[in-house]
Amino acid sequence: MSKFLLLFEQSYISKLKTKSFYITTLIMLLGITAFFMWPTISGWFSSNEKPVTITVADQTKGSAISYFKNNKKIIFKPAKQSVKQEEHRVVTGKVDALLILSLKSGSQLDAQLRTKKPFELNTQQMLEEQVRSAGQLFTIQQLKLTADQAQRIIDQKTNLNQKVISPTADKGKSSQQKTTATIVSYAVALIIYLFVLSYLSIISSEIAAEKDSRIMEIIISSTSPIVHLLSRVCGVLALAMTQFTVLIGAALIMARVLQSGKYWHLISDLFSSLTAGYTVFAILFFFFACVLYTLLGAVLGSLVNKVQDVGQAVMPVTMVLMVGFFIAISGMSNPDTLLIKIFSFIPFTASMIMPMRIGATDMSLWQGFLSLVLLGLTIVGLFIFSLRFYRGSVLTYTNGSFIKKIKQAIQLSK
Amino acid sequence: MTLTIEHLTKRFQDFHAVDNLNFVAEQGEIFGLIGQNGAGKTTTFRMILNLLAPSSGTIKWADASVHTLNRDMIGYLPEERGLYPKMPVEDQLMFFGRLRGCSKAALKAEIDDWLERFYLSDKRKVLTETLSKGNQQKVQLIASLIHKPRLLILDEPFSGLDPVNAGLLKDAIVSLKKQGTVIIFSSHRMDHVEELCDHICLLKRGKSLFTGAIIDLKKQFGKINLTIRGPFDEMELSKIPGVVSVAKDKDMYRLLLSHENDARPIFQMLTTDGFIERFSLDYLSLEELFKRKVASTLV
Repeated sequence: MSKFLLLFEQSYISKLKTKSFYITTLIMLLGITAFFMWPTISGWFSSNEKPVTITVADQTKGSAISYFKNNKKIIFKPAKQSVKQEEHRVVTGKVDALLILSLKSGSQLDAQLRTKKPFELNTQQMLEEQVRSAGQLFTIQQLKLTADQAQRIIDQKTNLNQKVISPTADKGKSSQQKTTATIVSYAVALIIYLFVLSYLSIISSEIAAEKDSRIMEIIISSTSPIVHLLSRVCGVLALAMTQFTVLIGAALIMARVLQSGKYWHLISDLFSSLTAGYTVFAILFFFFACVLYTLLGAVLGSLVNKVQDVGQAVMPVTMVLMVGFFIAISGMSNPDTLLIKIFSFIPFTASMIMPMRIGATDMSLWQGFLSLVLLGLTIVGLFIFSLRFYRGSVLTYTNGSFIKKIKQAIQLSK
Repeated sequence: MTLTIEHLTKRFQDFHAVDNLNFVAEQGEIFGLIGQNGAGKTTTFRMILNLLAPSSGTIKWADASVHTLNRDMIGYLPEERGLYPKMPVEDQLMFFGRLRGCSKAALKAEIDDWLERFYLSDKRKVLTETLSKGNQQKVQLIASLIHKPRLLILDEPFSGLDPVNAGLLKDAIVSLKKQGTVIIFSSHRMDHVEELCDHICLLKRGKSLFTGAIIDLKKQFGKINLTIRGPFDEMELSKIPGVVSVAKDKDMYRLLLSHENDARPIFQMLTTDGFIERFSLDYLSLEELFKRKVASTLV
């Protein structure tokens, strides 16, 4: 067996057997299960909740109260007594709130809510939605329209059909496609962020521990530092891909099995609206991001003296990752800003941002390709650079800045 | 097979970690590299191991550059322990053996044999971190020689070992020497160096102060270490011509002479009144020589 395979196996298998790997995978699987089972789980917690009872004092002399529909959370009851008496019932806790409906400016519905204590956000939002809807229907009613006419106004929806008339430009994507790509890109950015964050620290700690315990000296006296570096990077990448495959596999099985396959159809619809080009780019960016940050983690791990220094060493990289992730989030509302465009070409953040631009904007694909090439070149550059000082860095135990350590490591590597 | 080091120099900018070092370690020989902390021992080892490139000079194994040879022929025990704490002892030895190119089947018998020799058979499934410091050191030593290296480098192998385990380790080293392995080792324990080594290189700030057989170093100073026991007075002893210093050691006196030839008249003077219990003339110990040579201090 070659030394690369031996070191790779040792790195991969030893971590695969650790309790921490099982525990993190299990926690993530529980998270995925909770996501798919959410309607059931939320039902467990909400089933015992008593709905709030709201007395409606309708002063519109119309039938505004009829627009309020009872649901699991809110029950509306018409007021039978005066406002003052109804307010007293609220104060004494017999009902949860009093909703007073009145006319404003002659034809508009005005609603006032009186409660003993503020409602929960969810109830508040549901009530606001009911009031808004009731207000619309009431106004339509005031216009003396027929029920059919009113319904047509409410259901009215005009689609904007965009057609690019330039013969050189492509057709562009529909807003549905863009929205789907934004959601998927957000998921890709989140996965990259979570995976890279955890595996960055795993590889840094592994190499720092080997350096700290002097195992590194024994290994690189037996084989070349390049073999060691590559075996560790590949070992950790294989571990990341194993966990990723397990989680995606479990998610797909759950989507198919749980909730009568409802999520399976949702996912199918989601992916069917994505182009093949987008999917390929997203996968490549995800993989390249994992390679870049794993390599970076290995280099940082080789520069610290002790395992406990790893957290401090990877902190700047974590910050860069956070910046990339938050910019990706900002892109969900508008993926066409200059900030997004700039960061989609910076190799350290491109993987979280460029997939969003590819899917959610009408930019040319060459930009995505250029960003991918830049990311690839950065990986190659970092690998070549790390080879220059990796041998020396694992023998450097001095304190000082990373620049000083790198300089010393390069000198030792000569 | 011979390890030959010629004009070996390692500079870090203006600092000479190793300066024009020359020595030859023959097959079946134990060669000691001794010196204070920072003398350049570990740097020399790292150059032999190809972890550091020499600034100038050559390191040859049987007339070929050591760096062109298969690395699996070398065994290395670093000064600080290099073991995976969460790995069981047997897996650890299997890993390091395979790293040096041995097959699993061949290693199995070797592991059994070495664990038995070091009284570690009952620890084979135990995690390394749970072992005592001495046992970890024994595992480290087995890991460095499990693949039957032709060149074995031992950096402070006796560190952390009690006398019993140190004895076991010495036996193992001597056994390897008999099998023809070239062994280079460094130690601060001069008694171990004196007991095991045929030749030494004495380093001070990267420079060799002496290279050759221990006996030749001793002969440079001659037999000036005199031990006597009898009814003597320390003050009177110090006044004897040729006596450089007198030190009382329990019921004996240790006299340092300026020259070996002074011993004879001193013997006659001390035995004028007849019988004395002890009169022993010897070379300086390696520790005393080390202090004289390296630290430039008198005993």
